[in-house]
Amino acid sequence: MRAAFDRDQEDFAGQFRSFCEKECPPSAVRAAWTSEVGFSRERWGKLAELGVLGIGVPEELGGIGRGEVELAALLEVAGWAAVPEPVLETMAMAVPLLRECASGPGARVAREWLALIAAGEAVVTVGPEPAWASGATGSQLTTVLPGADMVLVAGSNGVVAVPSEACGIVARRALDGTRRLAEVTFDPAAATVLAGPDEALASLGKLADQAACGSAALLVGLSSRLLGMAVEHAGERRQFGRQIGSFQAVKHKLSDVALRIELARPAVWYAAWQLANQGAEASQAASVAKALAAEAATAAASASLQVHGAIGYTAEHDLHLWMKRSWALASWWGDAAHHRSRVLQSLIARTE
Amino acid sequence: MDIVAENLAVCQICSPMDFRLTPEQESFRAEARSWLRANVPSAERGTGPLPSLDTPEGFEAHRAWERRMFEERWSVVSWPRSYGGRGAGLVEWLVFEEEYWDAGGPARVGQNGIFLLGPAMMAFGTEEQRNRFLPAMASGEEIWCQGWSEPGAGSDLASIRSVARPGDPEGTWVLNGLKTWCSRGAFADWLFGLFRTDPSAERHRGLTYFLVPLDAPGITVRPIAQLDGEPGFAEVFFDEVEVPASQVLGSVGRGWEVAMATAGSERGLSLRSPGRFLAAARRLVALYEQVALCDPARAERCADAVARAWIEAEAYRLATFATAARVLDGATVGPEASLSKLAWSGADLAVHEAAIGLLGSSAELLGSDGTPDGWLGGFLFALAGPIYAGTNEIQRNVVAERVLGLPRG
Repeated sequence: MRAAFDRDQEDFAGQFRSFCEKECPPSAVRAAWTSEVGFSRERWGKLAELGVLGIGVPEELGGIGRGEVELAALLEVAGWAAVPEPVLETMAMAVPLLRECASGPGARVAREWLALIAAGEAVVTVGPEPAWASGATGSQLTTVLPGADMVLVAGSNGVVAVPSEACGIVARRALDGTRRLAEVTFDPAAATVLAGPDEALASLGKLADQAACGSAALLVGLSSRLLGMAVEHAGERRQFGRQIGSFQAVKHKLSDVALRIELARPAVWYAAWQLANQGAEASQAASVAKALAAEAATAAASASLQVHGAIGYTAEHDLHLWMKRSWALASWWGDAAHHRSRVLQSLIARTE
Repeated sequence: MDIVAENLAVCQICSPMDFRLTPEQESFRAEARSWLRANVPSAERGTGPLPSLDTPEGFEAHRAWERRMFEERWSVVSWPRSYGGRGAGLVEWLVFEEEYWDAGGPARVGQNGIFLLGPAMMAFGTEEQRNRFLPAMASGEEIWCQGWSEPGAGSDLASIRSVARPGDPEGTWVLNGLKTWCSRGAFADWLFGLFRTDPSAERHRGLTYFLVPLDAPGITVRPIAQLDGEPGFAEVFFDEVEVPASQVLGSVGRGWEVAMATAGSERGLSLRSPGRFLAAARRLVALYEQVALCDPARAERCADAVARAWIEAEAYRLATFATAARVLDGATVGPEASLSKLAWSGADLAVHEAAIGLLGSSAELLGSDGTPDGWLGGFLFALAGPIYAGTNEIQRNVVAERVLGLPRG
């Protein structure tokens, strides 16, 4: 039993954090808002060079061949930096899905795209099939469009790969300027079948778990940055002749956020470890993680906004970049209530 | 975590994350499970449940249970063998606790001693004190109560006014004052607590940690009924109570340091391990399933609260294993213990509030012996969690100032 990262995992996360401090400061997040696709292809290439994009890609395809535990460590850092690149879609969802398909009818295509992802030459997003989407994600929209090169459409009919230029895209702008959502239609003739309806069912369940765990890892990172900003501000801002962080009302608000983060983080580790080891509790653990992380992040966002006061309510201050990402991810692929209900269902199923 | 000091030498930072138990830990779990399943007082075997430990007969029945566990080295598994333990590691201790509560083990009447004073005594006691007190603590022969709070000193513990002055012969002490809310005080054998030995010193200094038998001349114990109607705590009056030097724990004037070690155990994972809350959360899910059969609408209304409570207990389990990993890597648990206390007290309340919600208007009913038992008794007990061991408001201050680094004041 060891509920902690080993030295290699910590070192890699540390390197990624240094990278983010240099290559992805708040000004870069802000620049992504007004960029054409909501993220930087140049930084995407650098993420590949660092090995981040290939973390879950098998070594023979140019990746690092590690699992969900390492991925969770990196995603927490990505959340902390509010990295605008589609790490959730490509690293936490497309890569595991392509790995699942790498031995099926679409093996050649799946392997080709895995290699392109590790090389930083492809951005891949995952769009749920509308009929399946409402249960799994609550949304029928797909992210990272038109910026992605390929869309994996997953649903009860199977998993297909569609080049994004073959998709009909109706763009929908979101509150977080880096999130480019779209309604997608495509001609089945342009799609490559990666998994048929039979193989797809298992993949779909795992996809929902990966999305829950991955978004939870990002949310823990986002929460810790939101808390850090609030602590910093509360130590600087003075009113009534004292730092506002010396007031108990402020202290208790931020302590509660700290507690939520400290409880969510090990839950994310456990979910990632369960996923990496195909554990029997993987789905339940992913839902526990997402339920805790989503509430940690929304609590961190509102506490941080309140502690910042009016300056935090402006678009000039960086706070909103983290806050808006948190709100979006908290409900993306299932909100806290959805995941709590999933946990209860699985607990009941176990006793039957 | 002093109870695991002997395991600190093993630095595990190079081993990967792994939530499985080792084969040795699994066999430890199996051994604990089989012993507990065969020995825990139970209605099926006609040996339980034990009466409330806050009644004279219940106290003695719980003491006998401690003795039974001690005989087979299950009462203090993490302690060294020389004091009656098994020298088990931190993870094994957490596993034992999961099994204990899962088997429906009774409340630990000796908990003030074995979980709070014991670790402090291993860190600060003399060898003579350890040999004198620890085995008797582990066997239940001597049950300890706490002597922290006073009428004017609760959360602000450093403002205590009970005093100890040098006695005759030299080295002895004479205690005067009043301690209150002393858990288990009504029936316990000994008390540990802080007394002011240097009234002129700054308030955190000049305090000394004393060990006092409750049958010493000059002591008067007045039991106090708690919310459940039973005398779970007491006021203890000290009137010229003579205490020898051998009953000072740690150095004279350094009692605060010893007390904080005890408080760290109380807030952190040694008093309230996750196993207790996980077992309660599992029973909550079972209750939910029963209610869903006879009153589906009520169950539906309570479903989110049930899931939330179970998740809180599970989160505390996982966070505790993360803390254990840090400890085994050589870290010490400092102010983070306050986060643990907020977590377990919150989880306990969430579980019991959800159960009370599921029970609806039948929740108010007392048990067959006329006392609040089952979920109602558990709910009343859970309400104390945010108050004892330092109120949760104090814990939030500790987290804010010493974990987050917010300014004091």
